[in-house]
Amino acid sequence: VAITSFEKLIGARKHPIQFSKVVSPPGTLSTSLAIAGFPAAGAPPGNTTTGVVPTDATTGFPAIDAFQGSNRGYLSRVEAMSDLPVSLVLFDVLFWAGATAIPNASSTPVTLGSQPDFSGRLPLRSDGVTPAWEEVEMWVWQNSATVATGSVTINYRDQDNNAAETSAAVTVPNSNAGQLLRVPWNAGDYGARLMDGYTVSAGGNPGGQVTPMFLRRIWGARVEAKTPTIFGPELTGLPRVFDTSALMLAGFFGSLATNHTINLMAEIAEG
Amino acid sequence: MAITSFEQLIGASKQHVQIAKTAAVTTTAGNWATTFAAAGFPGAGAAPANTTTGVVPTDLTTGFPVIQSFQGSNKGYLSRVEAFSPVNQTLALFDLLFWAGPTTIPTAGTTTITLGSQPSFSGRLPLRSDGVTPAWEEVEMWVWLSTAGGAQAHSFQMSYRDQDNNAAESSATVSTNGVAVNRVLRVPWNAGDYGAQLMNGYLVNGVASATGAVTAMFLRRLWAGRVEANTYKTWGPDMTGLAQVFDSSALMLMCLPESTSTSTPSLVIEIAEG
Repeated sequence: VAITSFEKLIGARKHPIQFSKVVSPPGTLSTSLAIAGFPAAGAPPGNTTTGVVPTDATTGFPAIDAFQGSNRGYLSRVEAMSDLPVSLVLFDVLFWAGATAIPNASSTPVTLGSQPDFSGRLPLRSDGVTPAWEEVEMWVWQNSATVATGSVTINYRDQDNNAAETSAAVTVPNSNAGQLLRVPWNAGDYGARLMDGYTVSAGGNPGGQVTPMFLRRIWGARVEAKTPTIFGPELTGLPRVFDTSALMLAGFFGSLATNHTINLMAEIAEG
Repeated sequence: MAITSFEQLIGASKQHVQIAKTAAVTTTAGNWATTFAAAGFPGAGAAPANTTTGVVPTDLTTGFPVIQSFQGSNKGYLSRVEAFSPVNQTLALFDLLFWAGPTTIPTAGTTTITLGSQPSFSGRLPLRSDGVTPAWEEVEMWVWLSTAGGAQAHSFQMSYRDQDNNAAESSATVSTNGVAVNRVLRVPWNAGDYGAQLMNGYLVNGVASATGAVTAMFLRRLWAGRVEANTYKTWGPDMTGLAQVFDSSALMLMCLPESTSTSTPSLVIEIAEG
């Protein structure tokens, strides 16, 4: 079944999913995953052989009650507040591997095999059959502070199932932990089916780790300081959410900020 | 098929198309510029390299985001836009219907480009309420400085067939003097006109020491909104107006920055089909 009308949406069972964190982010887009609060702090998967498909049951992600029968879930409303102006983004973490240290010299290649499948965490294209591979975005989480710049490339299978694609390199800057860095596609690509591996290149000084991730963007919006704001279904667009989704909240404060509170309630309608 | 009710819209299959540039375009405050040639998602595009027939670009042309094919006779609609910008600016989304160029601005005389056997872009326009006639009035004429125009008195003029199929109309002249690379200029209609069916060609009027190159474009405006610095905003279907989008549309982002850089804006474009 599915929610296909406003009437069904009104009558649907709703799940309130909460995030509440006190963050000290760098002045760029950064994740709240490793920060204590609600849910509790998470950590990189500790896996550089197969990679992992995290779920709502993985530490650091909020639990989502199982949907009944063949029901589907939709992000139907978001309530958000912050004590500083912030742009918030909600992702589903589809797949990740790492953490891998930025080497002092040369490069560290990581080759994954027998990777678990994340296709069930993508909505289907309008043919009702094909996963929407184009909703996959490649990112790197700078999960510990660095003292010199490094870089990461990701090897992947693209949206059309072409194997052995290699991304352009993304620079990991000398900065605090938490930053999310988007990884550019190889020319002509716009989605991915599989992470084959990745290469982390020298930073010139020891220190720093990275965790490559495949993310699906669910929602994003700006919240003004001390202004609780509600985004209804006309603004969320009712994107599909799964009862196994690993929801991760990221924020962009635009400047360095310390000890600031962000709260977010994501309402998932099921039907 | 078509989406004709709010219920259908809620139940419609939706796809999300991104334009997220990672390289800024340096321009001038208060003037439109395109991020088309900047790196990011999708990758950088370039002028069509065609001055004989012109080209109808599609979503598969380098530089435009790919749109998944609609099923059967489904139609597509712009149902929601999420936009982020690091700087104050107005963003606008266009479907690039037709283009020709680039043409180097000559250092003497006029370079006349005459197009023939032009491919049709009528299938990329919604229909008027008679259900038959393409909405030619949604076509806008623009010129893109695909290479910066030097500080000399050169100019551009378009030749076109108007909305009523009157051939050999000529636009007013637009100065390209000192126009920065990647700026785009709207080209005024001949008096009384408000749309176009065909680009016949264009004139590039040169002058001594002139530099630069121009690309002539027909665009269809889909959406526009202002984003404040470091602000992530969403426009729902009540604000996008559910403009019709085609699964071959060549979506191009334009920026009207309030200072000298577009910075790195990003859009998530939701297309509902049904």
